[in-house]
This record gives sequence, C-alpha cells and structure tokens, in this order.
Amino acid sequence: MKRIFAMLMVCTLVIGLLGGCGDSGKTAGGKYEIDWYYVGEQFADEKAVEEAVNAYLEGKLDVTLNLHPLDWSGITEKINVMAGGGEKFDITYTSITNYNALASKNALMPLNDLLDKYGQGIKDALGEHFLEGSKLNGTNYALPVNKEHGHHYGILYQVDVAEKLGITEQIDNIKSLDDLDPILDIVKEKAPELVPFRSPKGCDDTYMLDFEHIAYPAAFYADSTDGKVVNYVDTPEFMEAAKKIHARFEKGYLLPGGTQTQATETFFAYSYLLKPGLDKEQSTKLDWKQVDLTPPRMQSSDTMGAMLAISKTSENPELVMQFLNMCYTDSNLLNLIVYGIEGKHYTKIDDNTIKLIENSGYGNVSMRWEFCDIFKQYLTEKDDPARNEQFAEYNKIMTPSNYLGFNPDISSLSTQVGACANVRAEFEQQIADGNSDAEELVTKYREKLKLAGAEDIVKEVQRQYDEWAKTNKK
Amino acid sequence: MRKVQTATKQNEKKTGFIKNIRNNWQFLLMAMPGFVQVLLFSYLPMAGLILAFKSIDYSKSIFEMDWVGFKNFEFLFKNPDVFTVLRNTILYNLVFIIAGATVPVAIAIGLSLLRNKRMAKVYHGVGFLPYFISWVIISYLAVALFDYRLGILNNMGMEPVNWYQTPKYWPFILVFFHIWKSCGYNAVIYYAAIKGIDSELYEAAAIDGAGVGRQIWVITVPSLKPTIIMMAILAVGKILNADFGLFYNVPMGSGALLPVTNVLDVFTYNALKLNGDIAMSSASGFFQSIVGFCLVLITNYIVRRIDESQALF
Amino acid sequence: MNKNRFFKKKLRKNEISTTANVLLNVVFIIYALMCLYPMALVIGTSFAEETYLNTVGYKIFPQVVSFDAYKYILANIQPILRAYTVTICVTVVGTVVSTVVIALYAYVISRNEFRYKKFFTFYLFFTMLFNGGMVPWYIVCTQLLDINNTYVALVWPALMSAWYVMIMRTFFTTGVPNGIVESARIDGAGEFMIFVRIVAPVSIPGIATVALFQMVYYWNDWYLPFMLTSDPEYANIQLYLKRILNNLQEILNSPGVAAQSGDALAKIPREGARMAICALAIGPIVLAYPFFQRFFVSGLTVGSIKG
Repeated sequence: MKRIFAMLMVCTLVIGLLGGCGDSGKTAGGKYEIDWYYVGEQFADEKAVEEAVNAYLEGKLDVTLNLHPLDWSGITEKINVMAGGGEKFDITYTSITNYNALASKNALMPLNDLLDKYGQGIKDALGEHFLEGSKLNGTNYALPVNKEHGHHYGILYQVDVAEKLGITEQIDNIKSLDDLDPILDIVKEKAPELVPFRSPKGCDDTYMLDFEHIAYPAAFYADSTDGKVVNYVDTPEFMEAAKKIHARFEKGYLLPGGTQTQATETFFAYSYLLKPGLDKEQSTKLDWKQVDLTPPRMQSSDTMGAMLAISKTSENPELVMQFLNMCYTDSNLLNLIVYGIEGKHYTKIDDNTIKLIENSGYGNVSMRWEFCDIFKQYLTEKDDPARNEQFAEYNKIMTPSNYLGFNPDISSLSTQVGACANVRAEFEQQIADGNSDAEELVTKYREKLKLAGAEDIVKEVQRQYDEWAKTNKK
Repeated sequence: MRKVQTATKQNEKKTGFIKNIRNNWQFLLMAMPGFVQVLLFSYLPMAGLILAFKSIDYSKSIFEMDWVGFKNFEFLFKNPDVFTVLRNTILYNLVFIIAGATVPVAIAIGLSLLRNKRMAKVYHGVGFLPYFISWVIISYLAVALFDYRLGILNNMGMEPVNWYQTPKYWPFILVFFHIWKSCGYNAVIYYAAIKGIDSELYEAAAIDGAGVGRQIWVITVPSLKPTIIMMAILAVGKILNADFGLFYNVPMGSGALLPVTNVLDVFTYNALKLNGDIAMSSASGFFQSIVGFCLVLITNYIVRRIDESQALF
Repeated sequence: MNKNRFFKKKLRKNEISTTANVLLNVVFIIYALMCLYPMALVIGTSFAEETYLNTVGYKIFPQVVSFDAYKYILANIQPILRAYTVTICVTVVGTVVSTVVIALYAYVISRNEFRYKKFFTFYLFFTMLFNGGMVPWYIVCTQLLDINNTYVALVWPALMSAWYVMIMRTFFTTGVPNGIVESARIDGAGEFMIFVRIVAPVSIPGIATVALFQMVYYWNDWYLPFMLTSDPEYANIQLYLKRILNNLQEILNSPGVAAQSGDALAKIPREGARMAICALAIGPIVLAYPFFQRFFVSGLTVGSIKG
C-alpha cells in the first residue's frame, strides 16, 4: 500500500513536469499551420481541398490550413481535453453550449485587440449588435457566424394534406397556436392516419412565450426593458402555456407516450423554431409550409448559435485572426473551404449559384452555417435564390434585445446549476409531451426547482445584471 | 512472513531484497511488459486525481491551478435528488451483481450439458450477439417494442400501455436489457472455465455413481467458484458506477421515468452538460472510486476470513 | 450386441437424459431467438423504405425494400474500405500482442511462489478503481510518448486490461494443477518454458476467451483514434460510423441544429441509416466468432499433456 502511494507521488511529479511544456507547432515550409476544428463529415477529398486552399493562400498569407472535422458529441470532449492538455490548436467551433465554460476557464483567446488590429473585415460583416451579444464581461472570445441574426417561432404543416382538406387558407391565417384547434379537429376527423399536432421540446407553447433565457431557469420576459430577472417556470404565463399543451392532448391532437422518437411525417403540423425559408429546406420528401407566429427577435442566445473561437494554445493568434478576416471577406477562399474545388466537387450555374456533384468526396453543405459568413457563400441550386435578400431583410427588421451582451458568470453556483439541470431533464420533456395534468406537473416542477436552488440562480443573475446595467446601459 | 521481515535488521532486509529479486527475476521479467504498460497509462495519469480538488483554469498546468477543497463535490451531495440517485445506483448494481453471478453461470452449465455439441456452438455464438449492439441502437429497438402507436407490445391486442410515461415498469425493463446484453458475453468466461475442467474428474465421479446433477454440484460449481467470487468482488468495487449507456439511452430521455432511471453517471452528465467542468466530473469519479475501493477491501477481508484462497489479495 | 449397448450406456453416465436434453434445447432456442430477433430487426430495418417505417414500425421483412440507407452511408466507398482495413489490422495486432502481455502478467500473479505476487496483484487492481481522467492520460500519450497521429496510438494504450488479467489469473489458478508445474521445475525448466510448454496449452480455453474479449475491444474501439489522431487516414470503422450516427442524432434531436441543416436533414434515411450503421459495425466481427469457438473444446486436459 505505502509503496503504491509513494509511486503515485512520483508519477504525480512526472506528469507535473510534462504538463508544463507544450508541444511546438508544426510548420510546413516555414509557414504556420492553422488547425481548424469544426463539426462535420470526414470527406475523402479533405487533403485535396486543403492543398487547394494552401495554393490559394500562397503569396497572400503565410499560413497553411489543416481541417479537423469532428462529430457533435465529440467536439466538446476533444476540445476540453486538448485545452486541458495544452495541445496546440487554432480555431474551434463553439456555441452557446460550451462557449461560456471554455471562455471563463481561460481556454479561449480574448479577441478585441486582435479584431481592432486585423479584423476590420469581420467587424464590417457582422455589424455592431451581432458582435455585442456574445461578449463576456465586455470581451469577445469568439466570432459569430454571420447568418440570420435572430429567431422566431411558428408552425410547419403538410401542404398536400391541408389542400386536400380545404383548410389551407384557414391555417395560413392563424395568429397564434390558440387558433389551431378547429383546424386540428378537422385533421383528426378526416385524416385519421396522421397525428394532428406535435410540439417538440424547445418549441412548445412554453418556449413560444420567448422568454430571454439567461441561465436556466433565470430569464427576462420577451421585449421587456425593466431588467427584472424571473424564474420563468414560476410565471403565470408558463402555467397557462403548459395547460394549453395538455388541453390539446386531452382533445386527442397529440400522441400519447411522448413524441421524441417519431418522424415528423407522422404529424400533420408541428411547432418549430423558424427562420425565413425553412419550409423550403425541409421540403424534400413532403411539402411543408411555415406559418410565422412570433415576431423575430435577436437575443443574446441568437448571437451565440454558431461561433468561431481562437484557442489560447494557438501559437500565432495574429496570423489566425488575419486568416479569419480573409475568410470573412474573401468569398473565393470561403467557398473553397465550404464547397471544395470547382469542377471537382461542384459546377457553377451562374455567378452565385452552384450545383453540387453527387458523392464528389467533399462539400459541407449541411454544415455551411459553421463557416464565417453565409452571405458570402454560394447558393446551391436547391436554395431559394432570394435567400440572402430574405435574410438581410429579416436581420434588418428585428429589434435587438435590451439585454444583448449580458452573459453572467454563474460558475460559483455550480451546485444549484447542476441540480436545476436535473430537474429540467425530468420535467421539460413531460411538459412538451402534454400527457399529464399540467396543473399538477407544473406545481411539482416548481417545487423541485425551488428545492434545487433556482432562487439562488435568479438572485445572482439579477445582481450581476444590475451591475452590468450600470456600466453598459446608455 | 511479514512479521519475520519487519523483525530483521535494515541491512539484512536489503540483501534479502536483492536475493528475492534474483530468485524471482524470471517472474519479474514476465510481468515487466504489463507492469510498464500499467505504469504509463494508468499510474502516470493518476496525477489527475487532484483535479477533483482544483478549480479549472486551462491556461495553467494541473499543479498551478487553485485548490478549492471539496467544493467540486458539493453538486453531488447538496442536491435534493441525492438520495434517489444513490439508491437507484446501488440497487440496480446489486441486482446486476446477483444476476451476473447466476445467469451467465447457468447459461454456461446449460451449454456444457447439451448433447448436441453443434447446437451448443450455435447458441453460444448467438448469445454473444447482443453484446455488439450499441446502447443507442438498443434504445431504438426498445422503441420498436414499447412505442405507444407502433410498438410490438401495444399491437398485440391488449389495452395499450403508455410505457414511456409509466415508471413502474422500468426497473424490470432496464434489468432485462442489462442481462440480455451482458450475460451471453460473460457466459463465455464460465463456458471456457468448464471446458478447462479435467474431464477425468467427471469420469471418476460417474464411476462413483454420481448423477449429472451431483456432478454439477460437486465438480462444476466448485471449479467455477473462484471466478464467480472474483467477478463479484470486482463488481462490488463498481457499485456506484452505473452503466451510462443503458440508463441514458434506453429510457429515451423521458423525464417521467427519471425517478427510477436517474443513476449517478446520468445525474453527473445532466448536471455538467452545460458547464462542462472536468474538475467536477473528476470529483464524481473520485467519489465513486473511493467508495468502491473501501467496499472491495471490506469484501475481500470478509472473503479472506472465510476462505483465504478465494481472496483477491 | 447387448453387451455393447450396455457398455455405451455406462460410458454416457455423465450425459443428461433425453427429456432433459429436449427441455434444455427448448430453453436455449427461446434464448437464441431473443438474441437473434433484435439483430434481424436491425438488418430488416436497414433495408426498409423510410416512409413505411412511420406507418408500420420496424419489421424483420420490410414491406418495401430500399437500399437508400446503405447508399447514403456507402456513398464514398473508399474511406470506408480504408477504415475497415485500419480496424482489421489494428484488431489483429492488438489482440495478439495484448493477449501475450495479459497472459504473462496473469501467470506471474497466479503463482504462489512468486515473492511479490501480492504487490503485483494490488498494483493492478488499484487501477481498476482509480483513474486520473482523460486530460493527464492525453498528456502522457501526446507529450511523454508522443504517439499522437501514429498507428501505434491505436494499439498501445489498450494493451493491458486489469479486468482480463484477473479473469485469466483465475483460469491459471483453477485450471493448472500445481503438481505438473512443480515437477517441471524440478526437471530444471525455467518459468518462461513452463509457461509456454505446460501452462499455456492447458489454458487454451481461457486464453481464447481473453483473446476474444480483446479482439472485441479493439474492434469496437473508436476512442483511441478519436482522441489521439486527427488525420483521416487513422480513422477506423467505428469512428467513421460513430461520426455519422452522432451527427444524425444531433440533427434529429435539437431543433436549432435541424433548422440550420434543413435540406440535408430531410435527405437522410434516418431510421434505416441508424440500423445500417449498426449492421456495418458488427458485420465482419461476427464472422470471426466461429474461429474462436474452435478453442472452446474440452479434451485439452492435463492428462493429455502428462502422457
């Protein structure tokens, strides 16, 4: 026993010495190699595309590119371990899920100085508000991808079925989910093979209230300006919404047993998180049409949907920032990374539209929203040709939230956060499924949240907001 | 032995040590590859155990990070669900330990009794199949079974059951899936052990007039006993480590089932999903290890008191 | 004639009666069906037309057969074949080397005459309960050993398994009679010789068990290439398929991601792809199983060696 512990001590020392020294970055021909980690497929032609990128960069910037696609669950784990192990990497995809954790634990490079020096193109592309939203304590640790700047909720429905039943006009004109009942009645009666409705977790009535979620369960009311932090589960509106879902279940519009495993084709309509033109993208097998129900809003979470961060372990952040600036401004470079090589992976239809070559061995089309600026990427022949204009219009009409850029650090409350997260895992899906009595369920939900320490989180967020408001509110 | 050793003087001990090395050099040499392997990949990384008591700061090395005492453990104990979570974890594992000590043994003995050896081979091979199916896939097979609308069970003409919203069935369902997935695999160990039993023993017993049942009882079971005991002792050490894949995937994230499916590993996963704090997950692992370690020492002590030859060490 | 029959019956005294045999077979057939049926469901679904799945559920024999799922996954056959090659090579090398390492260590801690038996057992056992987590392990692999982005990284870190050493040890303690080891030692054989010539041959079922388990481990492993390599050339089949599966899961489960991925999402034959992935991941290893079964035969008894 003693010997084992003695040995443990020795091992501990060895690892300590190792941990101190980092790996020195590989360089190819005196150029700096940029390791870019993102979520995506592993394509056969990755090497060829990297070579094409490197050839394109020749003479423009002294860097080479090395792409590292990882899968969804993998990227968080691998980035954590690489950051912990001091391994060199340069760019990583991050989002609201792990951004705060990485930044507050010093894994990401603060970007403001670098942006001022080398990132004018990025600033121009993103605009003032969008870059504001992901600030932590006034510092940017990541660059949001330029795409739609906000979100709204609504429903998607099966066009063919609606036409057959003669309810198209009726459904297109609904103003809220409340107007849906008579329509679902018709569906239930005349199209019994379909389940009339579904409200997936995260897009159900309680989410359509569009609370601005800061740190679960602390939130602001949508469009509020009073700076009052609430536990959104405790609000009367939440109870009301949960009751509406259950009422729908009682009337037989929803599926018993939870819907999380069912394919969307099972349902006539479902509520969803929307952006302009989503229905067209969803309509490859069946025709779907969207009905927008809530106004578009830009909340902090929208600005953190997909971001690019520079790692603290990067050995030349200046060069990486210059490279990113190029990606945000030079559409040739960006399209090369996203779609691959012209003629080999896609063919051009016109200046801004391309046709993908089937099974060509490269093409990040489903993940293109991870790459810098979608306005500078080609459209494919399946995209709505007016997509970019629609998005630009969408981004113009939406009002940025009053609390944009307020991202509190609640790591001191990790116990409460952990307990609340478990309560959330127990109840959120049940609320969305609507199978059980809402009154009873929500009451239990509230009780458990209280026991888990939700109040502490709300108070802490309120405290930090008051402080933030002093310095950041004009 | 030890008493004698401590009684000897320092220098004698030293020469004794060298002598021991010289006498055992062949053994030591044979153990060397494994020894080095474990040193490199298990003991060196054990420095990470101290992460459980540190505050993560990626810009520092493990040793430079700030000490925070037991703060990283708080999320485990200062939450209202701690009792449910620990109860679930321990009860499921106890059932698994008992099932693990009986079902695979029964399968292995049954296989060895079959007269048609070719069929035995087929069953043996087929029983191994579930082990290869990942929990994610099994969770979808479970949906095929339990789905309210299309599920096989609800389409057998009986009153449909809302399986995914009814917690009372799930302890049985989860135990069933665990046994189904792991027992064919573990049966291989016992089957091989039975095959290794000297067949002369059976012949001798048969000549003495022992029937098949008696032969199993006096020859087969005693020769499997060391393996069964060892597997059980080791399983006791993992009593707080739940099979994450089973408990996380198979209930399909249905919150209504959480009171009976929430085990320590799932709890930790849910709690840390967002803040991704590796110090807190280290703390959780450290707690599991310490409890397991103590339990193994106790179990091993008891086993040693009963039958020294069966003890692990 | 009569005498002969009597003799036969006598010899078969350690066999079970016909009734018992039939009953036992019935039990095992039910058990086998319970194991086969889900597998058949997986394969059936992987060939099913997606739209029918939503209306009729999983079926072993799909109403409408479709190869879409396989077309989707096997669209690029080159990397898949490469990944299979990596897996097979790693599995073969890893199984052979690790079985030797494990068997040697297990033998050593199974011998009572080894002075440091207790220390070596405890040394190993301790690692079954305590581990320092991924980060320091990663530092050892990448900085001390510097094996990242090499094929060695797919084999080396998993060569030892404390669990399998323990299992193997019980095979040695229970299956190898002390007598023959002692007599060999008196004849002047070294420990290594005793192990190779006497202990290993008697313990073939045990060694085969551990080899089988290690083979399954290496076959199923995606963690080593995932953590320790970043070039696509090192991706094995499990990593390749896991990536597809996880991306599929995420797209299906989170509205945010689905909203972004749009078009690509609708194209994927979801259920089918999932099951096809499972079938592709298991496929070849199942064929290797009968190979191991040949080692689970009785008759390799001590008697045959003594003679």
